[in-house]
Amino acid sequence: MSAELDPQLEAAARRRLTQLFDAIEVGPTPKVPALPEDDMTDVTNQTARKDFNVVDLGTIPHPTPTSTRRHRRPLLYGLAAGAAAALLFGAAVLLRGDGDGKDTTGPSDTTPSRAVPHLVPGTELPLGIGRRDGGDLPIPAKDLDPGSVTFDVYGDAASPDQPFADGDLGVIVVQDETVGMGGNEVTVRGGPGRTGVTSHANDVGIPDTGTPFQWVSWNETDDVEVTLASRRLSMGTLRTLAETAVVKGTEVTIDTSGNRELQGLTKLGTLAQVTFGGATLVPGAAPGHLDTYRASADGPLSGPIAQIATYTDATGDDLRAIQWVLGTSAQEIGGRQVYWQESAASGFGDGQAQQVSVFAWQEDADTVAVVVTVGFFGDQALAMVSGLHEQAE
Amino acid sequence: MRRASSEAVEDLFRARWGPSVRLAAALTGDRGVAEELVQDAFLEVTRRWDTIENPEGFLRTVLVNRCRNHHRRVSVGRRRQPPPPRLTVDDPGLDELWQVIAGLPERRRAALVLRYYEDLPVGDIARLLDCQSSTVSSLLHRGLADLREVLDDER
Repeated sequence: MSAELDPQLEAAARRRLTQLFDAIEVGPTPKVPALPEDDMTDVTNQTARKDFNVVDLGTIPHPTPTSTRRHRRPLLYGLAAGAAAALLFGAAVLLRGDGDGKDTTGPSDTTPSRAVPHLVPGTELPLGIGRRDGGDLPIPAKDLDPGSVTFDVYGDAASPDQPFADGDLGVIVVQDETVGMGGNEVTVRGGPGRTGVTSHANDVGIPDTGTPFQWVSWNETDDVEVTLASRRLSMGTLRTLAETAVVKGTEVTIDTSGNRELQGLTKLGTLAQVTFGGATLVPGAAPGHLDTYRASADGPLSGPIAQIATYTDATGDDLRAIQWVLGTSAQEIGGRQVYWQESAASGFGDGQAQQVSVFAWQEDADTVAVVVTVGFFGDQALAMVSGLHEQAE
Repeated sequence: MRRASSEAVEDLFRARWGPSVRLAAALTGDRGVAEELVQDAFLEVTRRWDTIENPEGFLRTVLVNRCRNHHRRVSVGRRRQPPPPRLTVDDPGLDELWQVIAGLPERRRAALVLRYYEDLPVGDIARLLDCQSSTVSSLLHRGLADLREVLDDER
Protein backbone atom coordinates (compact mmCIF):
# COMPACT_ATOMS: atom_id res chain seq x y z
CA MET A 1 0.00 0.00 0.00
CA SER A 2 2.96 2.26 -0.40
CA ALA A 3 4.71 3.76 -3.35
CA GLU A 4 8.31 2.99 -4.27
CA LEU A 5 10.82 4.19 -1.75
CA ASP A 6 13.10 7.00 -2.84
CA PRO A 7 16.58 5.44 -3.28
CA GLN A 8 18.34 8.74 -2.59
CA LEU A 9 16.36 9.27 0.57
CA GLU A 10 17.04 5.69 1.61
CA ALA A 11 20.77 6.17 1.06
CA ALA A 12 20.75 9.36 3.12
CA ALA A 13 18.82 7.66 5.88
CA ARG A 14 21.24 4.74 5.91
CA ARG A 15 24.26 7.04 6.08
CA ARG A 16 22.95 9.41 8.73
CA LEU A 17 21.35 6.79 10.97
CA THR A 18 24.59 4.84 10.92
CA GLN A 19 26.51 7.98 11.91
CA LEU A 20 23.96 8.74 14.60
CA PHE A 21 23.86 5.36 16.26
CA ASP A 22 27.51 4.43 15.75
CA ALA A 23 28.34 7.55 17.74
CA ILE A 24 26.65 6.13 20.82
CA GLU A 25 29.39 5.48 23.32
CA VAL A 26 29.35 2.00 24.78
CA GLY A 27 31.27 1.10 27.88
CA PRO A 28 33.56 -1.91 28.16
CA THR A 29 31.99 -5.28 27.71
CA PRO A 30 30.94 -6.61 31.12
CA LYS A 31 31.22 -10.21 32.19
CA VAL A 32 28.84 -12.68 30.66
CA PRO A 33 25.72 -12.60 32.83
CA ALA A 34 25.47 -15.69 34.96
CA LEU A 35 22.30 -17.70 35.03
CA PRO A 36 20.46 -17.82 38.32
CA GLU A 37 20.82 -21.20 40.02
CA ASP A 38 17.21 -22.07 39.28
CA ASP A 39 17.82 -21.69 35.58
CA MET A 40 20.59 -24.28 35.39
CA THR A 41 18.05 -27.04 35.82
CA ASP A 42 16.18 -25.61 32.87
CA VAL A 43 19.36 -25.51 30.78
CA THR A 44 20.37 -29.05 31.54
CA ASN A 45 16.88 -30.32 30.89
CA GLN A 46 16.84 -29.01 27.36
CA THR A 47 17.32 -31.84 24.91
CA ALA A 48 15.68 -30.97 21.62
CA ARG A 49 17.06 -28.46 19.17
CA LYS A 50 14.53 -26.31 17.42
CA ASP A 51 14.36 -23.25 15.26
CA PHE A 52 13.44 -20.41 17.55
CA ASN A 53 11.44 -18.41 15.08
CA VAL A 54 9.11 -21.12 13.85
CA VAL A 55 5.66 -20.86 15.36
CA ASP A 56 3.69 -24.02 14.80
CA LEU A 57 0.11 -23.31 15.70
CA GLY A 58 -0.56 -27.00 15.71
CA THR A 59 1.59 -27.43 18.80
CA ILE A 60 -0.08 -24.76 20.87
CA PRO A 61 -1.58 -26.31 23.97
CA HIS A 62 -5.34 -26.34 23.70
CA PRO A 63 -7.57 -26.03 26.72
CA THR A 64 -8.89 -29.34 27.84
CA PRO A 65 -11.56 -30.00 30.39
CA THR A 66 -10.48 -31.02 33.85
CA SER A 67 -12.31 -32.78 36.58
CA THR A 68 -13.22 -29.53 38.24
CA ARG A 69 -15.03 -28.25 35.18
CA ARG A 70 -16.74 -31.33 33.80
CA HIS A 71 -20.09 -29.63 33.66
CA ARG A 72 -18.67 -27.41 30.91
CA ARG A 73 -17.36 -30.16 28.69
CA PRO A 74 -19.78 -29.50 25.85
CA LEU A 75 -18.68 -25.91 25.78
CA LEU A 76 -15.01 -26.78 25.78
CA TYR A 77 -15.37 -29.44 23.16
CA GLY A 78 -17.11 -26.88 21.07
CA LEU A 79 -13.78 -25.14 20.65
CA ALA A 80 -12.14 -27.98 18.83
CA ALA A 81 -11.98 -25.98 15.63
CA GLY A 82 -8.60 -24.77 16.76
CA ALA A 83 -9.74 -21.20 16.65
CA ALA A 84 -7.06 -18.66 17.20
CA ALA A 85 -6.99 -15.04 18.14
CA ALA A 86 -4.25 -12.51 18.15
CA LEU A 87 -3.90 -9.59 20.43
CA LEU A 88 -4.61 -6.36 18.82
CA PHE A 89 -1.67 -4.66 17.16
CA GLY A 90 1.07 -7.18 17.37
CA ALA A 91 0.16 -8.70 20.66
CA ALA A 92 0.47 -5.50 22.60
CA VAL A 93 -0.81 -5.64 26.13
CA LEU A 94 -1.28 -2.27 27.64
CA LEU A 95 0.33 -1.60 30.96
CA ARG A 96 -0.66 1.58 32.63
CA GLY A 97 -0.40 3.20 35.99
CA ASP A 98 2.76 3.90 37.90
CA GLY A 99 4.04 0.35 37.79
CA ASP A 100 5.88 0.61 41.06
CA GLY A 101 6.20 -3.13 41.36
CA LYS A 102 3.80 -3.51 44.25
CA ASP A 103 1.07 -6.08 44.21
CA THR A 104 -1.94 -3.86 43.89
CA THR A 105 -4.49 -6.64 43.97
CA GLY A 106 -7.65 -5.26 45.48
CA PRO A 107 -9.32 -1.91 45.22
CA SER A 108 -8.02 0.34 42.49
CA ASP A 109 -5.75 3.14 43.53
CA THR A 110 -7.41 5.38 41.00
CA THR A 111 -10.85 6.89 40.99
CA PRO A 112 -13.14 4.40 39.26
CA SER A 113 -15.90 5.28 36.86
CA ARG A 114 -18.81 4.47 39.13
CA ALA A 115 -21.27 3.80 36.33
CA VAL A 116 -19.15 1.03 34.85
CA PRO A 117 -18.83 -2.32 36.65
CA HIS A 118 -15.26 -2.99 37.71
CA LEU A 119 -14.56 -6.71 37.34
CA VAL A 120 -12.00 -8.46 39.50
CA PRO A 121 -10.99 -12.13 39.65
CA GLY A 122 -12.80 -14.24 42.20
CA THR A 123 -10.24 -17.02 42.14
CA GLU A 124 -6.54 -17.17 42.82
CA LEU A 125 -4.74 -16.44 39.60
CA PRO A 126 -2.20 -18.90 38.20
CA LEU A 127 1.51 -18.66 38.90
CA GLY A 128 1.08 -16.00 41.51
CA ILE A 129 0.20 -13.13 39.23
CA GLY A 130 -1.53 -10.14 40.72
CA ARG A 131 -2.85 -6.75 39.76
CA ARG A 132 0.15 -4.58 38.88
CA ASP A 133 -1.35 -1.76 36.86
CA GLY A 134 -4.78 -0.32 36.50
CA GLY A 135 -6.88 2.74 36.08
CA ASP A 136 -9.79 4.32 34.35
CA LEU A 137 -10.58 4.47 30.68
CA PRO A 138 -10.32 6.25 28.36
CA ILE A 139 -6.58 6.53 28.16
CA PRO A 140 -5.51 10.06 27.23
CA ALA A 141 -4.62 10.23 23.55
CA LYS A 142 -1.22 11.69 24.31
CA ASP A 143 -0.33 8.50 26.16
CA LEU A 144 -0.98 6.28 23.15
CA ASP A 145 0.71 5.57 19.87
CA PRO A 146 -0.73 7.40 16.89
CA GLY A 147 -3.37 5.66 14.87
CA SER A 148 -6.69 3.97 15.39
CA VAL A 149 -8.91 1.44 13.70
CA THR A 150 -12.68 1.41 13.36
CA PHE A 151 -14.73 -1.62 12.38
CA ASP A 152 -18.19 -1.38 10.83
CA VAL A 153 -19.71 -4.82 10.39
CA TYR A 154 -22.60 -5.91 8.21
CA GLY A 155 -24.64 -9.07 8.56
CA ASP A 156 -28.14 -10.47 8.65
CA ALA A 157 -30.17 -8.78 11.38
CA ALA A 158 -32.84 -11.43 11.01
CA SER A 159 -30.44 -14.10 12.31
CA PRO A 160 -29.37 -12.80 15.69
CA ASP A 161 -27.54 -15.99 16.68
CA GLN A 162 -25.61 -16.41 13.44
CA PRO A 163 -25.74 -13.01 11.74
CA PHE A 164 -22.62 -13.61 9.66
CA ALA A 165 -23.30 -17.20 8.64
CA ASP A 166 -24.60 -16.46 5.16
CA GLY A 167 -23.05 -13.10 4.46
CA ASP A 168 -20.73 -10.71 6.20
CA LEU A 169 -18.76 -7.58 5.58
CA GLY A 170 -16.24 -5.78 7.70
CA VAL A 171 -15.32 -2.22 6.83
CA ILE A 172 -11.99 -1.48 8.48
CA VAL A 173 -10.88 2.13 8.57
CA VAL A 174 -7.36 2.73 9.81
CA GLN A 175 -6.13 6.23 10.57
CA ASP A 176 -2.44 7.12 10.70
CA GLU A 177 -1.36 3.49 10.43
CA THR A 178 -1.81 0.56 8.11
CA VAL A 179 -3.34 -2.90 8.18
CA GLY A 180 -0.73 -4.23 5.79
CA MET A 181 -1.90 -7.72 4.89
CA GLY A 182 0.26 -8.11 1.81
CA GLY A 183 -1.74 -9.25 -1.21
CA ASN A 184 -1.53 -8.16 -4.81
CA GLU A 185 -1.44 -4.72 -6.30
CA VAL A 186 -4.61 -3.69 -8.09
CA THR A 187 -6.28 -0.48 -9.11
CA VAL A 188 -9.01 0.61 -6.73
CA ARG A 189 -11.02 3.78 -7.23
CA GLY A 190 -8.54 4.85 -9.87
CA GLY A 191 -5.53 4.57 -7.60
CA PRO A 192 -3.22 1.97 -6.09
CA GLY A 193 -4.83 -0.67 -3.93
CA ARG A 194 -4.36 -4.26 -2.91
CA THR A 195 -6.41 -7.43 -2.74
CA GLY A 196 -5.77 -10.74 -1.10
CA VAL A 197 -6.99 -13.72 0.83
CA THR A 198 -5.83 -14.47 4.32
CA SER A 199 -7.10 -16.13 7.45
CA HIS A 200 -6.03 -13.49 9.90
CA ALA A 201 -4.85 -9.91 10.27
CA ASN A 202 -2.91 -9.72 13.49
CA ASP A 203 -2.17 -6.05 13.01
CA VAL A 204 -5.77 -5.18 13.73
CA GLY A 205 -6.68 -8.21 15.81
CA ILE A 206 -8.58 -10.36 13.35
CA PRO A 207 -7.92 -13.90 14.53
CA ASP A 208 -7.24 -16.97 12.49
CA THR A 209 -10.56 -18.78 12.61
CA GLY A 210 -9.57 -21.27 9.97
CA THR A 211 -11.94 -19.55 7.55
CA PRO A 212 -10.07 -17.38 5.07
CA PHE A 213 -11.42 -13.96 4.25
CA GLN A 214 -10.99 -11.93 1.12
CA TRP A 215 -10.14 -8.30 1.26
CA VAL A 216 -9.60 -5.23 -0.84
CA SER A 217 -7.78 -2.22 0.51
CA TRP A 218 -6.85 1.27 -0.55
CA ASN A 219 -5.65 4.55 0.86
CA GLU A 220 -8.45 7.06 0.52
CA THR A 221 -6.07 9.76 1.72
CA ASP A 222 -2.53 9.72 3.06
CA ASP A 223 -3.89 9.15 6.55
CA VAL A 224 -6.99 7.05 5.93
CA GLU A 225 -6.76 3.45 4.80
CA VAL A 226 -9.96 1.56 4.02
CA THR A 227 -10.19 -2.23 3.89
CA LEU A 228 -13.29 -4.22 2.99
CA ALA A 229 -13.11 -7.81 4.24
CA SER A 230 -15.48 -10.75 4.17
CA ARG A 231 -15.47 -14.45 4.97
CA ARG A 232 -18.49 -15.02 2.75
CA LEU A 233 -18.68 -12.47 -0.06
CA SER A 234 -16.88 -12.95 -3.35
CA MET A 235 -13.91 -10.85 -4.38
CA GLY A 236 -15.96 -9.48 -7.25
CA THR A 237 -18.55 -8.15 -4.84
CA LEU A 238 -15.89 -6.63 -2.60
CA ARG A 239 -14.27 -4.91 -5.58
CA THR A 240 -17.64 -3.54 -6.62
CA LEU A 241 -18.35 -2.28 -3.12
CA ALA A 242 -14.94 -0.62 -3.02
CA GLU A 243 -15.69 1.27 -6.21
CA THR A 244 -19.11 2.42 -5.01
CA ALA A 245 -18.30 3.20 -1.39
CA VAL A 246 -18.75 6.80 -0.34
CA VAL A 247 -15.92 7.98 1.87
CA LYS A 248 -16.13 11.24 3.78
CA GLY A 249 -13.24 11.64 6.12
CA THR A 250 -13.22 8.38 8.04
CA GLU A 251 -16.89 7.62 7.41
CA VAL A 252 -17.46 4.90 4.83
CA THR A 253 -20.94 4.35 3.46
CA ILE A 254 -21.56 1.06 1.70
CA ASP A 255 -24.29 0.69 -0.88
CA THR A 256 -25.77 -2.76 -0.30
CA SER A 257 -28.57 -2.38 -2.82
CA GLY A 258 -28.60 -3.95 -6.25
CA ASN A 259 -26.42 -6.96 -5.45
CA ARG A 260 -27.85 -10.38 -4.76
CA GLU A 261 -24.97 -11.33 -2.47
CA LEU A 262 -25.72 -8.36 -0.29
CA GLN A 263 -29.45 -8.87 0.09
CA GLY A 264 -30.38 -8.84 3.74
CA LEU A 265 -27.09 -7.39 4.89
CA THR A 266 -27.35 -4.36 7.11
CA LYS A 267 -24.92 -2.61 9.39
CA LEU A 268 -25.06 -4.42 12.73
CA GLY A 269 -22.34 -2.82 14.77
CA THR A 270 -19.40 -0.47 15.04
CA LEU A 271 -16.28 -0.65 17.14
CA ALA A 272 -14.99 2.88 16.98
CA GLN A 273 -11.42 4.09 17.03
CA VAL A 274 -9.67 1.31 18.85
CA THR A 275 -6.28 2.83 19.52
CA PHE A 276 -2.88 1.44 18.67
CA GLY A 277 -1.09 0.62 21.88
CA GLY A 278 -4.35 0.91 23.81
CA ALA A 279 -6.68 -1.63 25.34
CA THR A 280 -7.52 -4.58 23.14
CA LEU A 281 -10.85 -4.26 21.32
CA VAL A 282 -11.92 -1.27 23.41
CA PRO A 283 -13.01 1.96 21.69
CA GLY A 284 -10.50 4.68 22.37
CA ALA A 285 -13.01 7.15 23.82
CA ALA A 286 -15.08 4.77 25.95
CA PRO A 287 -15.11 5.32 29.72
CA GLY A 288 -14.44 2.31 31.92
CA HIS A 289 -11.77 0.40 33.76
CA LEU A 290 -8.62 -1.42 32.71
CA ASP A 291 -6.51 -3.63 34.95
CA THR A 292 -3.42 -5.65 34.12
CA TYR A 293 -2.41 -8.70 36.12
CA ARG A 294 1.01 -10.28 35.86
CA ALA A 295 3.89 -11.58 37.93
CA SER A 296 5.58 -8.27 38.54
CA ALA A 297 5.46 -4.73 37.29
CA ASP A 298 9.08 -4.96 36.18
CA GLY A 299 10.92 -7.32 33.93
CA PRO A 300 10.15 -8.56 30.43
CA LEU A 301 6.57 -8.41 29.24
CA SER A 302 5.84 -12.08 29.12
CA GLY A 303 3.09 -14.41 30.20
CA PRO A 304 1.14 -15.10 32.22
CA ILE A 305 -0.67 -11.81 31.78
CA ALA A 306 -4.35 -10.97 32.11
CA GLN A 307 -5.92 -7.75 30.94
CA ILE A 308 -9.45 -7.08 32.19
CA ALA A 309 -11.39 -4.19 30.71
CA THR A 310 -14.96 -3.03 31.11
CA TYR A 311 -16.30 -0.05 29.23
CA THR A 312 -19.49 1.78 28.41
CA ASP A 313 -20.88 0.77 25.04
CA ALA A 314 -22.47 4.00 23.91
CA THR A 315 -24.17 2.57 20.85
CA GLY A 316 -25.16 -0.83 22.18
CA ASP A 317 -23.77 -2.63 19.15
CA ASP A 318 -20.07 -2.95 19.90
CA LEU A 319 -20.32 -6.62 20.69
CA ARG A 320 -21.61 -7.38 17.20
CA ALA A 321 -18.45 -5.83 15.77
CA ILE A 322 -16.29 -7.77 18.23
CA GLN A 323 -18.13 -10.94 17.26
CA TRP A 324 -17.21 -10.39 13.64
CA VAL A 325 -13.59 -9.61 14.50
CA LEU A 326 -13.26 -12.74 16.62
CA GLY A 327 -15.19 -14.81 14.09
CA THR A 328 -17.00 -16.89 16.64
CA SER A 329 -20.36 -17.55 18.22
CA ALA A 330 -21.36 -16.97 21.82
CA GLN A 331 -20.81 -19.70 24.39
CA GLU A 332 -21.89 -19.94 27.99
CA ILE A 333 -19.06 -19.29 30.42
CA GLY A 334 -19.78 -18.63 34.07
CA GLY A 335 -23.39 -17.79 33.32
CA ARG A 336 -22.50 -15.26 30.63
CA GLN A 337 -22.76 -15.48 26.85
CA VAL A 338 -19.15 -15.01 25.85
CA TYR A 339 -17.34 -14.69 22.53
CA TRP A 340 -14.04 -16.53 22.99
CA GLN A 341 -11.13 -17.10 20.65
CA GLU A 342 -7.66 -18.50 21.10
CA SER A 343 -4.42 -18.14 19.24
CA ALA A 344 -0.69 -17.93 19.66
CA ALA A 345 1.36 -14.77 19.68
CA SER A 346 5.12 -14.47 19.56
CA GLY A 347 5.55 -10.82 20.45
CA PHE A 348 6.35 -11.44 24.09
CA GLY A 349 9.54 -12.12 26.01
CA ASP A 350 11.86 -14.37 24.05
CA GLY A 351 9.67 -14.49 20.97
CA GLN A 352 8.38 -17.97 21.64
CA ALA A 353 4.69 -18.42 20.95
CA GLN A 354 2.39 -18.05 23.90
CA GLN A 355 -1.24 -18.94 24.11
CA VAL A 356 -3.50 -15.92 23.85
CA SER A 357 -7.22 -16.00 24.65
CA VAL A 358 -9.65 -13.17 24.04
CA PHE A 359 -13.07 -13.11 25.73
CA ALA A 360 -15.80 -10.53 25.22
CA TRP A 361 -19.33 -10.27 26.49
CA GLN A 362 -22.13 -7.90 27.43
CA GLU A 363 -21.70 -7.42 31.19
CA ASP A 364 -24.89 -5.39 31.46
CA ALA A 365 -27.07 -3.38 29.11
CA ASP A 366 -24.51 -0.59 28.78
CA THR A 367 -21.25 -2.37 29.51
CA VAL A 368 -18.99 -4.58 27.44
CA ALA A 369 -16.22 -6.61 29.05
CA VAL A 370 -13.05 -7.67 27.21
CA VAL A 371 -10.55 -10.00 28.82
CA VAL A 372 -7.24 -11.02 27.27
CA THR A 373 -4.97 -13.65 28.75
CA VAL A 374 -1.45 -14.50 27.64
CA GLY A 375 0.42 -17.60 28.69
CA PHE A 376 -2.41 -19.22 30.59
CA PHE A 377 -2.70 -22.96 30.12
CA GLY A 378 -5.46 -25.50 30.20
CA ASP A 379 -8.62 -24.02 31.60
CA GLN A 380 -6.85 -21.39 33.71
CA ALA A 381 -8.23 -18.58 31.56
CA LEU A 382 -11.71 -20.10 31.61
CA ALA A 383 -11.60 -20.42 35.37
CA MET A 384 -10.55 -16.81 35.75
CA VAL A 385 -13.28 -15.51 33.45
CA SER A 386 -15.87 -17.70 35.14
CA GLY A 387 -14.91 -16.25 38.51
CA LEU A 388 -14.93 -12.58 37.59
CA HIS A 389 -17.25 -10.50 39.72
CA GLU A 390 -17.94 -6.84 40.29
CA GLN A 391 -15.67 -5.21 42.80
CA ALA A 392 -17.55 -3.96 45.82
CA GLU A 393 -17.33 -0.21 46.31
CA MET B 1 25.01 -31.79 26.67
CA ARG B 2 27.13 -28.66 26.70
CA ARG B 3 26.63 -26.10 29.38
CA ALA B 4 25.58 -22.59 28.47
CA SER B 5 28.73 -20.98 29.85
CA SER B 6 30.78 -22.07 26.88
CA GLU B 7 33.44 -20.10 25.09
CA ALA B 8 30.96 -19.62 22.28
CA VAL B 9 28.67 -17.66 24.57
CA GLU B 10 31.53 -15.47 25.67
CA ASP B 11 32.64 -14.95 22.07
CA LEU B 12 29.13 -13.91 21.10
CA PHE B 13 28.91 -11.64 24.12
CA ARG B 14 32.18 -9.89 23.27
CA ALA B 15 31.33 -9.57 19.59
CA ARG B 16 27.75 -8.39 19.98
CA TRP B 17 27.75 -6.37 23.20
CA GLY B 18 28.51 -3.02 21.58
CA PRO B 19 26.30 -3.39 18.51
CA SER B 20 23.49 -4.73 20.67
CA VAL B 21 23.66 -1.81 23.08
CA ARG B 22 23.63 0.62 20.17
CA LEU B 23 20.64 -1.14 18.61
CA ALA B 24 18.76 -1.14 21.90
CA ALA B 25 19.64 2.52 22.48
CA ALA B 26 18.37 3.35 19.01
CA LEU B 27 15.10 1.57 19.73
CA THR B 28 14.54 2.81 23.28
CA GLY B 29 16.35 6.14 23.26
CA ASP B 30 18.06 5.39 26.58
CA ARG B 31 21.56 3.96 26.80
CA GLY B 32 21.18 2.89 30.41
CA VAL B 33 18.00 1.02 29.66
CA ALA B 34 19.67 -0.40 26.56
CA GLU B 35 22.49 -1.94 28.57
CA GLU B 36 20.01 -3.53 30.98
CA LEU B 37 17.95 -4.94 28.13
CA VAL B 38 21.04 -6.32 26.38
CA GLN B 39 22.17 -8.00 29.60
CA ASP B 40 18.72 -9.48 29.94
CA ALA B 41 18.70 -10.63 26.32
CA PHE B 42 22.10 -12.29 26.69
CA LEU B 43 20.81 -14.07 29.75
CA GLU B 44 17.99 -15.44 27.62
CA VAL B 45 20.50 -16.55 24.98
CA THR B 46 22.50 -18.34 27.65
CA ARG B 47 19.37 -19.95 28.99
CA ARG B 48 18.30 -21.21 25.55
CA TRP B 49 21.76 -21.91 24.14
CA ASP B 50 21.19 -25.59 23.52
CA THR B 51 17.89 -25.11 21.76
CA ILE B 52 18.71 -22.37 19.29
CA GLU B 53 20.22 -22.75 15.84
CA ASN B 54 21.24 -19.16 15.31
CA PRO B 55 22.29 -17.48 18.56
CA GLU B 56 22.96 -14.12 16.93
CA GLY B 57 19.56 -14.06 15.30
CA PHE B 58 17.93 -15.23 18.50
CA LEU B 59 19.73 -12.50 20.41
CA ARG B 60 18.39 -9.87 18.02
CA THR B 61 14.85 -11.26 18.24
CA VAL B 62 14.91 -11.29 22.01
CA LEU B 63 16.45 -7.84 22.18
CA VAL B 64 13.94 -6.26 19.81
CA ASN B 65 11.10 -7.83 21.78
CA ARG B 66 12.59 -6.54 25.01
CA CYS B 67 12.88 -3.05 23.55
CA ARG B 68 9.32 -3.10 22.23
CA ASN B 69 8.01 -4.33 25.56
CA HIS B 70 9.94 -1.60 27.31
CA HIS B 71 8.31 0.92 25.03
CA ARG B 72 4.86 -0.46 25.83
CA ARG B 73 5.53 -0.23 29.54
CA VAL B 74 6.63 3.37 29.40
CA SER B 75 4.24 4.55 26.73
CA VAL B 76 1.53 5.57 29.16
CA GLY B 77 4.05 7.34 31.33
CA ARG B 78 5.09 9.56 28.49
CA ARG B 79 3.83 12.64 30.28
CA ARG B 80 6.44 12.09 32.94
CA GLN B 81 9.27 11.40 30.55
CA PRO B 82 11.88 14.06 29.95
CA PRO B 83 12.72 15.10 26.41
CA PRO B 84 14.76 12.47 24.57
CA PRO B 85 18.35 12.60 25.81
CA ARG B 86 21.14 13.54 23.48
CA LEU B 87 22.70 10.33 22.36
CA THR B 88 25.48 11.48 20.20
CA VAL B 89 28.36 13.71 19.31
CA ASP B 90 28.32 17.45 18.92
CA ASP B 91 26.65 17.52 15.54
CA PRO B 92 23.53 19.68 15.29
CA GLY B 93 22.34 17.77 12.26
CA LEU B 94 22.50 14.46 14.08
CA ASP B 95 20.87 15.94 17.15
CA GLU B 96 18.02 17.18 15.01
CA LEU B 97 17.75 13.77 13.37
CA TRP B 98 17.62 12.12 16.79
CA GLN B 99 14.86 14.44 17.97
CA VAL B 100 12.76 13.44 14.97
CA ILE B 101 13.55 9.73 15.39
CA ALA B 102 12.72 9.84 19.08
CA GLY B 103 9.32 11.36 18.35
CA LEU B 104 8.23 8.68 15.91
CA PRO B 105 5.70 5.96 16.75
CA GLU B 106 7.47 2.89 18.09
CA ARG B 107 6.90 0.60 15.11
CA ARG B 108 7.88 3.27 12.61
CA ARG B 109 11.12 3.96 14.46
CA ALA B 110 11.86 0.25 14.80
CA ALA B 111 11.34 -0.31 11.09
CA LEU B 112 13.72 2.54 10.21
CA VAL B 113 16.39 1.41 12.66
CA LEU B 114 16.23 -2.23 11.60
CA ARG B 115 16.25 -1.40 7.88
CA TYR B 116 18.77 1.42 7.68
CA TYR B 117 20.97 0.79 10.69
CA GLU B 118 20.83 -2.98 11.07
CA ASP B 119 20.48 -3.39 7.30
CA LEU B 120 17.91 -6.16 7.66
CA PRO B 121 15.74 -7.26 4.74
CA VAL B 122 12.09 -6.25 4.90
CA GLY B 123 11.00 -9.87 5.44
CA ASP B 124 13.21 -10.22 8.51
CA ILE B 125 11.88 -6.96 9.91
CA ALA B 126 8.33 -8.18 9.36
CA ARG B 127 9.08 -11.28 11.40
CA LEU B 128 10.66 -9.22 14.17
CA LEU B 129 7.75 -6.81 14.30
CA ASP B 130 5.19 -9.60 13.87
CA CYS B 131 3.53 -8.05 10.84
CA GLN B 132 3.35 -8.38 7.07
CA SER B 133 6.14 -7.24 4.76
CA SER B 134 3.77 -4.74 3.22
CA THR B 135 3.28 -3.23 6.65
CA VAL B 136 7.03 -2.78 6.98
CA SER B 137 7.15 -1.14 3.57
CA SER B 138 4.40 1.21 4.64
CA LEU B 139 6.16 1.98 7.91
CA LEU B 140 9.39 2.71 6.03
CA HIS B 141 7.55 4.91 3.56
CA ARG B 142 5.98 6.92 6.35
CA GLY B 143 9.19 6.99 8.37
CA LEU B 144 11.27 8.28 5.48
CA ALA B 145 8.65 10.95 4.89
CA ASP B 146 9.07 11.98 8.51
CA LEU B 147 12.84 12.17 8.09
CA ARG B 148 12.77 13.87 4.72
CA GLU B 149 13.19 17.38 6.03
CA VAL B 150 16.21 16.62 8.21
CA LEU B 151 17.78 14.46 5.52
CA ASP B 152 17.30 16.86 2.64
CA ASP B 153 20.68 18.48 3.17
CA GLU B 154 22.32 15.09 2.82
CA ARG B 155 20.87 14.20 -0.54
